[in-house]
Amino acid sequence: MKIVKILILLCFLAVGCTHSPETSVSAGRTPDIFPDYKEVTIPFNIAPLNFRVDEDTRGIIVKVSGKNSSFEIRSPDASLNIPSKKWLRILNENRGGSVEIEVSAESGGVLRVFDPFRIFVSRDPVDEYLVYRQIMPGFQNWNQMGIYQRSLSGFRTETIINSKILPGTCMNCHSFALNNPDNMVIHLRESYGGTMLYRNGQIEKLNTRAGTMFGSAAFPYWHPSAKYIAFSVNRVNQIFHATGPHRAKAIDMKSDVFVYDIENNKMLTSSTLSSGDKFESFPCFSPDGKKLVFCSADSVKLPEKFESVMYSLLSVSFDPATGAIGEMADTLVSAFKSGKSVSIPRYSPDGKYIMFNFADYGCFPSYNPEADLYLLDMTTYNIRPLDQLNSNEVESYHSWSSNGRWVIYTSRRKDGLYSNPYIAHIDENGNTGKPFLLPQKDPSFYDNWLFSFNVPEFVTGKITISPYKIEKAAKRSPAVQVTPGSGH
Amino acid sequence: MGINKESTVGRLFLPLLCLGSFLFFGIFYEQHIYRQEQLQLFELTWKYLLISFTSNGGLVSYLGEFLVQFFHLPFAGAFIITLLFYISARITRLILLKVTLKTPLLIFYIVPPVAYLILLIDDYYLLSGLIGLLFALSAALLYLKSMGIKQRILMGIGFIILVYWLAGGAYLVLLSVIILSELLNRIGKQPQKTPLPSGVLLFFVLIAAAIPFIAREYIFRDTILQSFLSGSYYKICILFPLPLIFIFSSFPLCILFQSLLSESVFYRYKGVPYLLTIAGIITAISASIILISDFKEEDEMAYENLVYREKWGKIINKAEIQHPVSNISMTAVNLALANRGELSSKMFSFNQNSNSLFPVYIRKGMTPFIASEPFFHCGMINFSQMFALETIESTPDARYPSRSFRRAAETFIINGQYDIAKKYLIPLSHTLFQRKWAIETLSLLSDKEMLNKNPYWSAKRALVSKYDFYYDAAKMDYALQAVVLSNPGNRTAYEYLMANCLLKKDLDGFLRYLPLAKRMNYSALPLSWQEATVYIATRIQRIPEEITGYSINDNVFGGIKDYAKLFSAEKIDTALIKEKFGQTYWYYLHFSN
Repeated sequence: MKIVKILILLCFLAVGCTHSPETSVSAGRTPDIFPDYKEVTIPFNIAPLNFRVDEDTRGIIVKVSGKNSSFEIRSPDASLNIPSKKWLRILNENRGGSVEIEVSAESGGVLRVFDPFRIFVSRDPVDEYLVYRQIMPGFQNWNQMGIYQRSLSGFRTETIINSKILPGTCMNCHSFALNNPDNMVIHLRESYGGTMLYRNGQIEKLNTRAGTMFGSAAFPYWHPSAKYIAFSVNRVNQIFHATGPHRAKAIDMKSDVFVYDIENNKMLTSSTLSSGDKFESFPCFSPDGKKLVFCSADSVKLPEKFESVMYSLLSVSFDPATGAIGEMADTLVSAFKSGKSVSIPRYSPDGKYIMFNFADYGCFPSYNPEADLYLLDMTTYNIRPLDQLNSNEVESYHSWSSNGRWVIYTSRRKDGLYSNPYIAHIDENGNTGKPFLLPQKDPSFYDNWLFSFNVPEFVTGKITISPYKIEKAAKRSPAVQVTPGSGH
Repeated sequence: MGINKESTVGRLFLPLLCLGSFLFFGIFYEQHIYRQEQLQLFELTWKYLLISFTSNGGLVSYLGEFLVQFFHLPFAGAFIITLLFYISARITRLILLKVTLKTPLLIFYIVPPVAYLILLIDDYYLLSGLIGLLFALSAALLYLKSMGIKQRILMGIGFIILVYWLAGGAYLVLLSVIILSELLNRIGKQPQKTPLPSGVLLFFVLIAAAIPFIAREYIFRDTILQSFLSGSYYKICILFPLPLIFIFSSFPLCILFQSLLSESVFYRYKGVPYLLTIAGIITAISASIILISDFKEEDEMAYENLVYREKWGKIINKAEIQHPVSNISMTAVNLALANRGELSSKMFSFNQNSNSLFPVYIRKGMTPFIASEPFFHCGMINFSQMFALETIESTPDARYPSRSFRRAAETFIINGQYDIAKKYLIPLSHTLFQRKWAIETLSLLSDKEMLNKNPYWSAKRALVSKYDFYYDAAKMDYALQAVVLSNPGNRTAYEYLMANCLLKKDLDGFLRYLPLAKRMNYSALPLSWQEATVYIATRIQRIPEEITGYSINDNVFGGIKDYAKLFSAEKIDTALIKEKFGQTYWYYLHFSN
């Protein structure tokens, strides 16, 4: 016991004896930090926004202040690691307000005190988990792919399925009904190819290539009733640039849209969704389940004219009772009029907006550096760019939180190659806050991480199915064969 | 021969095997050994060490990678492998001695370690596995040395868990040695030890069976097979490693065999069974080496490794001694010739084919390192990057290949994408042999002015095409033309462009690009171009105007006349044509597939 006491005393002495700067001066500006969390809007239940101070410094002191309380963190280097409990407590106390971050950096015996910056704390919570695919930015090969879930109030990441468990299998297109972790679909290709449908605690493997479909179903979107899933079937080619930082392009050589009727195990379609002379892709149901929107382009000679493929946003009626698909499509956003190509339309949960990507051509925005996020107001049909969310680099896949107040999207803005996840607040009028990069325990995480975040989706809780159950179902052969049906 | 103690032959056998191992891996299989270092990226950091403890077998993987770094040095790999083999053989010998108390039959101790040594000839088995085996054998020896029941129970449980976690699958060897020694103890083979109760032995087995399941449920996610074996032993986790299982089984089998075999046989027939055993082992070793080793691949790797070290002269010398036949080797030879400015003059001295400039990319197994090289040296940086990244993502064990990391970093620097380049440079800066280069390059990245003035990087940047085009393996002439027109100083690309036309037998293309020779400052036409030109002249009945300003050597004119005589003979004597004109473009044009 005596030894313990001596050790504790020594520790206190050591802390007390750390070098104190002789003078302190005001820097007269806010510090350069990475990630840029200055003036961002965050949910009160988000993990600590750890950051690195990109200033000449030997150590930092950071004061986090709320309305009624504050705490201070000292770091012997430029990286800040905020204690989770203190962080979540101060956010909780300041819902609807802001917290102030004051950074002091020591260098050469001088303590430079930077102007404080604010972080706005929204009253709107974000869903508990984020599901994403982790993939290297390669071309055709992969050996470390995986779908993971990350707790958003902490840093814990768990495997849903990955290449270790299913070697040689490409896994993608995970999707959830109304952000519900209990209704999930994952598409597998190559070694154990098939569509994994997880519902009511049961998982089954489907062979979704039914009737005259030219491929298996991909790019899914659940019907709000969780009785249907709309898919597009795409034949995608990649081409590679010889010069410049943007190395590749993806071309949709052929595509159609189908609706899978889960209860009756039928793949429904109609000439509106699967026309021979058009490409149809990226379907999305409206929150009331009565509309199905999708992207559509006139087919052209490919790959020669791939830069002239322009997708419009169309809408057809859908009858959830019968699965009937409307025969007339309305044009919501015309590629002809806008001069831009639409992809990845996503209805807000309240049905007031559709967020989508605009690019110069094509329907795979992650390959188009000019691709940006736009918002279509479903009451006025006005379109506006989400300037606060966009950058000079690619903005691509996006999804809404279950309460419709947060969106997560991928952007290559950091280096032009790796897709990173950004979260932004969006209010009931469609106004956005400054987005923030998904926080990590190590602020330098994104500098060293060799993977892209792909298809980020919010889910309201943890996915409880074991990866081994998915593995077992994936290895099951034959898969349940989906039968063709008619959407008329 | 005396057999009451280990014979002289027996004592010499292990050192002789060590010598054989050193020579085999140091001389005959050195390219395979050298390449292993390129296939991993060992970071000498605390973080990397700590990560190794998060999965079963992680520590031996860490140690294995640490040692494999030194395979970069001549004979270091052979020495390390041989040393580990020697230690494992000595420990195995001690274990057999401890369990069976019989000296004369000790020669069998050599079988399992030799089997593992032979397994290492196969690229898919890892050095870390041998280290894992050493962990398990050392733990087994410590266990066998302990006498008390309580001590043995605690050691048994502790070692099974510890070896499982640190060394992966070799814990099964430990378990089998423990169980077998205890069973032999029961039948009175070790009278001085009190046997452990059966329940304890069963408990050991249950622990060994349960921990992989517990670990994969609560600590890591992996397949059942990998949860037992770990990734420290072999690279392709989807395959069942039967040879490894045989080797693991051979340890208890050797103990059993030695215990049950009667010593009287050896006494009765003096040294004959002993010598026969040694002869049998040597035969088995020889047969296994012949079956497992791949000397064709060794030769290809020699070329690939020389390209890695940019030893162009050595590549050409090697090819001149024995003409390579494989595409990978020919890609290396052509690249070396182009870098020395000799491609157009010497290329038909070797066995060319239409794919020997750029290796055909087949999505099967790992993308070869060399796939990226011709593009890099010709200035098609994005394509070089594409293949470097493909290689990173196609290693069978998902380890990062340091060689491709370096190439990827270089391509990102050339493209001006410094943040991305740093992602690849930082891990390289933690390695032993890439460290210096990576740190120097990182410091250049922080000073853009210095980087832009740096002769290496500015020369590489000057090679990049000003015109964009798309990758198409079937249209490399368009790609090369764009690169050449962007930089008339890019002779490597021009040599490739002309060689590509000749190899594809595209004489229109050859004539189209021939006038560029003046812009590229050729003072004379290289031999293969002269041969192609006079051949064209025979077809169009005149010397093509595209060669204006250049002359054709009289020998070439004379040569084609002689060739034409043989070629237009009523009965073509192919062998004679090959003998006389096998190294001309005309022969390639008419006789290559």
